Amino acid sequence: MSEPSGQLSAVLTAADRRIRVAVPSDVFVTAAEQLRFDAFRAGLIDASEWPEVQARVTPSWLDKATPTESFAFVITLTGAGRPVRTLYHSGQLQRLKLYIEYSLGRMLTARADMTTLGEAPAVDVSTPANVALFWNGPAEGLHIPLGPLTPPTQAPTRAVQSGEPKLPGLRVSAEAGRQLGELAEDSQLRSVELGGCLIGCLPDINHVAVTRVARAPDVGGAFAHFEFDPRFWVVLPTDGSSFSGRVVGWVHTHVVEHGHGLALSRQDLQTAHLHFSAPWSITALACATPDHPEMHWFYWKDGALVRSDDRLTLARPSATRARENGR
Amino acid sequence: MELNVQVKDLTGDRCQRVRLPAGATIGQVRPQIVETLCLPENDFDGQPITWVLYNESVETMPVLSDVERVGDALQDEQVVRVIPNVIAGVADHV
Repeated sequence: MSEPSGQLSAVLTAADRRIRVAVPSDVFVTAAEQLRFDAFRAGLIDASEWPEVQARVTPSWLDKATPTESFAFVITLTGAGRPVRTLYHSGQLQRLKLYIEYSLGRMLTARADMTTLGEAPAVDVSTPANVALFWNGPAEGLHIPLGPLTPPTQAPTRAVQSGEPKLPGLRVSAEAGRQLGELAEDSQLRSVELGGCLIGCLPDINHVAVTRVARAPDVGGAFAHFEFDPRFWVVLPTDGSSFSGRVVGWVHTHVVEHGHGLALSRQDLQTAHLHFSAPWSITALACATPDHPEMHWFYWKDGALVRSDDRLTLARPSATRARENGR
Repeated sequence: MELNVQVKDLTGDRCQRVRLPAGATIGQVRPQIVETLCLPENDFDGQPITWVLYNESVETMPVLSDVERVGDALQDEQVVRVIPNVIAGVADHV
């Protein structure tokens, strides 16, 4: 057996402890192949602290030497809730496409171990969900009811569903709040839409923290739309294991004076569906008004983008500065 | 000869390792990369989405041109970002 030479996309935190792997019909596996799970370094935790764990597939799964319509098995994590990284042998990478859908829950405290439970009912492989989830370390209590575990695939609807009364514990750092306020005020003062990216962390599946806002270069702003500079995305952090955090959503502004208020446009919905469909992805809308800019939050729930009734009224940066100068 | 590279989407949520033939052009392997990451090919109006590839491993993060050969534009273990054109707004609000 060759050494592991490849890595599948999914980086998994501890689940409610299930990872369901569905193999499409045009592939098969042999007993020589096995999934290997390796420790994944997260945050400041040294990789050496993460014992290697392995997943062994059941004989009934391994015995499938011929293509089948689809089959799946469930791996149950009984570990300590630490992120693991899936490693595959080069042969697997060449011949297999593994679609992983996962069900992630709270972090566990048991010892690191993995076992397989056996076959599970076949899953629909037409909507693969090979998203990655990183755990960035502890963060205090925000809670966002996250959406489905598979990315939404339906076309955007023109109406955003009404959401939870609020997102309890949604944590936005003071720095991020200040940056959002500046973004909204600049948008209002210049009468153009602006945009950016929400950087933060995912303490666990139920929590999203926004720690800062990466503001996109203002090269494509107009009164009714904003076009992100593609290079902006390239420089954003994508490694959730670093201090720099990870992308947890996106934000843009609406200039209320133009009549574009608290609602997302069809283009906004499409952008969220196509590019920010991870269950934890937040779509934030900063409404620039002459008085106080307001933030509105949209999140995924049951496959639909849902608006929280929570509104975050931001301090006007210029007013804050004026107060400070007047002292 | 093949190169083993890592490909990531806009946010980095989707990340895969792929083996690309060194002799192919970037334009030829783009569909494979898009498919590997399970990225949509069309928007909801049926219009094709333009995915642009960037070499994240190079400091200047150059755009990978369609006519470049994989073996010339990339090295083993480099990271490729797959970036669409992201637009917010337009006056069609709901």
